[in-house]
Amino acid sequence: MPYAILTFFGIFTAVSLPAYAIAPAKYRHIVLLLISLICAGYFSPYGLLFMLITIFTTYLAGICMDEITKRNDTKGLEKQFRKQIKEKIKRKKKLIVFCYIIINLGILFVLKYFKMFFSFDIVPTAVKMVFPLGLSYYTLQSLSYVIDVFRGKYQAERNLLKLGLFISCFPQLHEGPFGRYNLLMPQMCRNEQIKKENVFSGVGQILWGLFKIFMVANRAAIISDEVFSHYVRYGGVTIVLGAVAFTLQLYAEFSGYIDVAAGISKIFGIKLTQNFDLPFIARDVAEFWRRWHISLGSWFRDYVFYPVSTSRWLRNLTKKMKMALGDFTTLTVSLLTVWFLTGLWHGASIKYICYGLYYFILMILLHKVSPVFSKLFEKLKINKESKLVILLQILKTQFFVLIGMLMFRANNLEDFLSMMKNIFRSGETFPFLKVLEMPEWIVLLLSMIVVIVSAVIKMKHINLEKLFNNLTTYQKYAVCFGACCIIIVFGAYGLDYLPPDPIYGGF
Amino acid sequence: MYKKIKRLSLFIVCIMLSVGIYMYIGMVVTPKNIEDSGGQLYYSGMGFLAEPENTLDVMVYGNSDVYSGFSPAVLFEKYGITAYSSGRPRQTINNINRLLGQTLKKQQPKLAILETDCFYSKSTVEMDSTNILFAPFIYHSRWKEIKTRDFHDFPSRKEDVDLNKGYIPSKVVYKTKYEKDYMGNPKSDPKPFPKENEKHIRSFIEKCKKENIEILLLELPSPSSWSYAKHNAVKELAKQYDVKFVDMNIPRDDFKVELKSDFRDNGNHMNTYGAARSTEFIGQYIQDNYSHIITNKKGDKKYEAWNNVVDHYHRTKL
Repeated sequence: MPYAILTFFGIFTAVSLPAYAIAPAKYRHIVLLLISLICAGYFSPYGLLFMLITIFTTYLAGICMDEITKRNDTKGLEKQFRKQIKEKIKRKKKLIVFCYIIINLGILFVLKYFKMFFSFDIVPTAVKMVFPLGLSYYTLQSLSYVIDVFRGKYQAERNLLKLGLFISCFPQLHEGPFGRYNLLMPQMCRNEQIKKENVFSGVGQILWGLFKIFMVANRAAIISDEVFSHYVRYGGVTIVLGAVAFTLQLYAEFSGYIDVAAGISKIFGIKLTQNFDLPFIARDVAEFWRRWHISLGSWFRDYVFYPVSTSRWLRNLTKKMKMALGDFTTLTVSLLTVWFLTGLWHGASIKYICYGLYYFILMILLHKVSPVFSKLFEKLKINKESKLVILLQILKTQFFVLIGMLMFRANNLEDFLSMMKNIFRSGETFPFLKVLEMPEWIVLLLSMIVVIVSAVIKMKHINLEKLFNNLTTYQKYAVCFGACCIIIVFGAYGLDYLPPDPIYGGF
Repeated sequence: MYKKIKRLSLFIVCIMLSVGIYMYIGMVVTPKNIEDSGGQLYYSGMGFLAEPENTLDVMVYGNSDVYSGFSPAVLFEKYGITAYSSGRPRQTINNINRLLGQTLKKQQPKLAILETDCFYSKSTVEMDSTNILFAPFIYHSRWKEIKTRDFHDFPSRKEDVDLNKGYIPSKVVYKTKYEKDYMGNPKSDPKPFPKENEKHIRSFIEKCKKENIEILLLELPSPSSWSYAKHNAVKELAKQYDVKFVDMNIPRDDFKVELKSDFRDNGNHMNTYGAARSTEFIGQYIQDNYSHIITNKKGDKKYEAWNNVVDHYHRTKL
């Protein structure tokens, strides 16, 4: 079903547009909610039940916390009583959040680990029917809402249907991005009518996403599959080529799916969170993760890193230490928790946990080594902002990212280690023209040039979307139609191509 | 007013231009002969359209089981019977009715063999490979082999004679994991056909009867999809309409499935070896039961071209 989700999203969008446009403004969010639930139910009939449980528990948790705060009004009370009541409120709210986490993370862990531990060969249909579409995405998204209500960042949503839409909105169910309640809800509540400019802008972004998926990702997948499936044969440069191809595949595919989701949302007047921001120009791994899968990184920062680093038990632990050591311990424990969970989020296997821990080590090293390098640069009077230094920093970052990708894509840790060893030995020559015919290579390279040019334009702060929006309707139509024809004819799908499964789709 | 008319005209021109370009792309990428990439898919099941008028005595309709398990070349070589293997992947009985209609425009088959595996196939949302509207999506990968002729020749199934007569050979031998008793319990309750299919099955039988075409319901060996429950349902139907039904999954003196050598996959599709054996059995069955209406065409000058079919079969089977 690799393309089923795209086809289905396309059909759903086309069908829901007239329904959304005809519906009275105050009911439009209900139309979107119904469509989203039907979409989730289509892909996983029983999984829909779990999604509904999450919606109801999220709603109840928010309302209960709000009620507790309202019923225990501390206005006009003495400071001492105020403090006591606030503590009481906090305890009650904590209990609610705890119960909420037990139920919803429980569903996430049981279903996700069930899927991981039991082979698809044994119970393929059962797993498909029970595993809700976008389980990891909507669970973390609703958890962020509950935690924010707990923190008093905003009041709980009183309208169950609106909250339901926030959790289940169909474009972001497949591969995210994680949305935040305070950013998404005002847009969803606007119930904006379909506008011509939004439709063109949305369709343009969808086509850009499809271009990356079908022109770049699916072809890069053929190269990476060949190298990773037969890595024993290859060595040196070929293994590196495989890792580069996989990195390209992952970026083009993941950002492509996100563009499709963002484009569909845009048609309905909803702007999703940005998930990628030129990750390959990052100068260190920390910056890379601020530019790659941004919504996941910021989620872990706000809901894991900050709570852990400011937690009482960690403060107590580091109290007796010297200040520098205490700070370092706080950072280490917080980062370790974040990266362990990031690894676990990607999958319940030692490989993914090691993938997370790999970045933890890099982050700690970065923290320790950066000041040393800064001093060294100062002493040697090297300009840190010179183009050569920036280029070297980017290359260094990509080197570490490639090793991470190698681990991420390898079947298991053993294979990863073998591939690392193989880099230092020679192997068979890579059968370039057997893996991809010459015309395919040409199309892949041309498509990559298009993606790179778009990145360069973005770096120069030229807003391509704005330029597109300034075109006349017929010019926009011509651009979209032309892009559509190019993707249909030159895209890597259908006959002669085995469709790769969306990498982030299973999370 | 003038502005409105101008805008409307521009809109209509734009739509027409888009439709025109899209259809032209479809025409360019559609295979122009069977050897083109995707040609097998384009012609599959419909290559009979290029056959000379009234030259096919037997038409075999069904899904992928038919183009894998029935070889017209073997039938002609052994029995001198002209046949066409009109099978297509995941073919539905509804579609077979359409193929029957197209067959009758040019051919007067004496016998229609209907492979019964498709009785349980439901319509899918998959793109129909014969629909010109989907051509750019289905055959787009031909962009790599586009020739000048593709820009001006219209695709047509009526010009290029298919030497395989619909049959798609495979030399792969797969030892299936099935045991001899894969059909289950002989006393299983008949498995009902999907309601919509039932209507189309009846329509097929009635149309054949109206056109004086004998009907033979046939189930080619298919351990992965066939069972006694399905067998019993077809048996009931055959009895109801007084048509013959042969199930090759049930061992008989003159044919037994060889589970370790007849298939190219795990018991779903036959290979060249299995197809030759099953076709020989079908040929003998036709000779025994329909010799009064189907004659041996070997040696007949009108059917000389069929010798090329046999030669082609022997060239490609190894």
